[in-house]
Amino acid sequence: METTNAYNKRNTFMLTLRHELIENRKALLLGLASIWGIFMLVGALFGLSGSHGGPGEIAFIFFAFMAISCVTASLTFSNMKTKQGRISAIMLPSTAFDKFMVRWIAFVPVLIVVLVAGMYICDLSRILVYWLRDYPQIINGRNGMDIINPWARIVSNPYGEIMAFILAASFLLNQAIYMLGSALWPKLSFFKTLLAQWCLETVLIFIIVIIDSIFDIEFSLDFLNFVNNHGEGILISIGVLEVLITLGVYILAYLRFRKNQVIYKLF
Amino acid sequence: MLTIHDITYSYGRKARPVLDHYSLSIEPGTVCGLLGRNGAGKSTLLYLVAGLLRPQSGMISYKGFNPWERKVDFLNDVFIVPEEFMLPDVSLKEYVSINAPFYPNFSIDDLTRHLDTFELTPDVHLGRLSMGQKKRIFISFALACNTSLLILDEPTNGLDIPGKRLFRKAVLNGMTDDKTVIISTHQVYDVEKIIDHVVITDTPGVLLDAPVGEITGRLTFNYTNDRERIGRALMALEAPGGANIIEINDGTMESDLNLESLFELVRQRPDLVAKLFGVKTSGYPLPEQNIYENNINR
Repeated sequence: METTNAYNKRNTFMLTLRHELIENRKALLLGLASIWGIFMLVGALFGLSGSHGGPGEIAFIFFAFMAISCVTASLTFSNMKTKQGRISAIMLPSTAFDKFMVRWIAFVPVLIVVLVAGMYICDLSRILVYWLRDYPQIINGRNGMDIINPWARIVSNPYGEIMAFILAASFLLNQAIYMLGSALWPKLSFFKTLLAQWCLETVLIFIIVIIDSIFDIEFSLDFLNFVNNHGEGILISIGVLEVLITLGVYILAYLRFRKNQVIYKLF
Repeated sequence: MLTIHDITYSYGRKARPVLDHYSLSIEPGTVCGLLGRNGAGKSTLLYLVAGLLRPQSGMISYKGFNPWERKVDFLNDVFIVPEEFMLPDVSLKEYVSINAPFYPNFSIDDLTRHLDTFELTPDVHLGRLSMGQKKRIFISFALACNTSLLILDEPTNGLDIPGKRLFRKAVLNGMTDDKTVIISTHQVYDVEKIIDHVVITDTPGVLLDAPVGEITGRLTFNYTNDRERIGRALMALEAPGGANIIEINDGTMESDLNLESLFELVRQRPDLVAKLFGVKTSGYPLPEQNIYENNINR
C-alpha cells in the first residue's frame, strides 16, 4: 500500500473536499439517485396524464426545488449529530472555514446543478412515456415533445426577470435558513427549523400588516398589481435585501459551526 | 510541553465544576497514565487538551498553541483516539489516502510496522471489521501519524488479551523523546508496564502527579501474607492468600509499580500522598516535608 503523503498546508481545502467526498460517497450517491428518481417518477406520471407544460408541472418543479433544497440543507451538518461525528469533524486538521465551504459547495451550487439536471430528467421521462403511450401516432410529430424550461416561461411574463430574481433570492434564503438550522440543531434539524420558520414567518406577517396599516402601503400578494402600484424598484430592493440576509445567515451558520464542541451546546 | 494552568470546567452553568482551578504539566518524551474514578474528569481533561471543549477559565498551552483556537498546525500535531469512535465505510487504503495527507509526519512504513505488531494486514475494509479490529487499525494509524501529542482514552477497551499485549508493544515501539502520550484508563494492568508518569485525578483537582521512578523510589509495592507486616503497611489491599501492600521505601528495596494499590492509597489517604509527593489535594504544590516524619504521624 502506498500513500502520497502529500502534505501541503496551502492545499488543505482540496484535501478536505476529497476527504468529505470519498468518506460520504455512498450517502451522496444515494441522495443523487433519490432526487433524480423522484423527478423521473413524477415526469413519468406527467407523461401518463398527457400534460405538457401546464401550471401543474411548473408548480411541481418549484415545489420540488424548494422542498429538496430545504431537506438537503438540513443535512449539511448531520455528521455533528453524534459525539463520535463531532470529534471526527473537529479534529480533522483543516480550518473551520475550509470544512464549512466544502459543505456549502456540496449543498448549494452543486445541489442547484443536480436539481436543474433533475428538471430535465423529469421532462425527458415525461416525453418518453408520452411517446411510448401514443406510439406510433406522433412518431413524426413534435407536439408535446418539447423540453419544458420553467425559467424561460417565468422570464417571458411581464416583469419576468424581476420575478425570476426574487424567486432565486427567496430560494437561496430559504435554503440558507435550513443550513443555519442544521448548524444549530444537528438532530431533527429539518423539523426544528421548519417550526422555527413558521413561528418567524407568522411574526413577520403580523409586522407587515402593522406596517401596511400605518404607512398605507397596500401590500398585496398579487405580484403584477404590487409592481404597478409601487414600481420595480421596491421589488429589486426586496431581492437585494434577501441576498444580503442570505449572506448573513451563511455567516451565522459558519460562526456556529466553528464554535462546535464535543458536547452539544446550543450556544 | 503541555501546560494546563488553573482551568475550570463544568457541564452547565449551575453544575458543580468537574475541574476546578486545575493545573498540570506534562513533559515531552513521557507516557503519562491518567487515572481516576468514574466522573473524575479524565475524559473532560482530554477533550480540553485536544480543543474539543473550551475551558471556562484558565489556560491550556501546547507548544505555544491554545487548543481551543484549533489552528491547523496544532490539529496536525495532535491525535486523539477516543473511547468510542467512528470509522467510515471505506477500505483501509482509501482511509489512509484521504486522512494521511493531513499529517506531515505520517509514515507508511510506521503504519505497516504497527499493523504488523497488531497482526493485521493492510488490505482490509473498515466497514467489515469487529470493534476490536477497528480499534487496532485506528491505534495503528494514530501511531503512524507521528504526532507529538497522542491522546488515548480507554485504548484497551474492546481489545482481546493478545490485543492488549500488542497495544503495549505498539506504544513502546512508537515512542520517541519528543512525543507525549497521555493514556486515560481504568484498566490499570494494561498500562502499568508502559507508563513512566502517573497522574491521579479526582473532582476537582490533581491528587498525584509524579514520575514512576519517583513513586517507586519513595514507596515499595509488595505482596505478603505476613499479618504483622500488613498491619504496619501504609495501605493493604486484600488479595487471595494475603494482601498487596504499600510501604515506605527506605532505599534498600526495589519493586514494580502496582497501579491498583497506588490508586487505593491515593483514594484512602490523599493527605499522606500529598505530603509524600508535594501535591495538595486541591492541586496546588506544597513545600517538601520529611516523609519519615509523616509516616510516624500515620
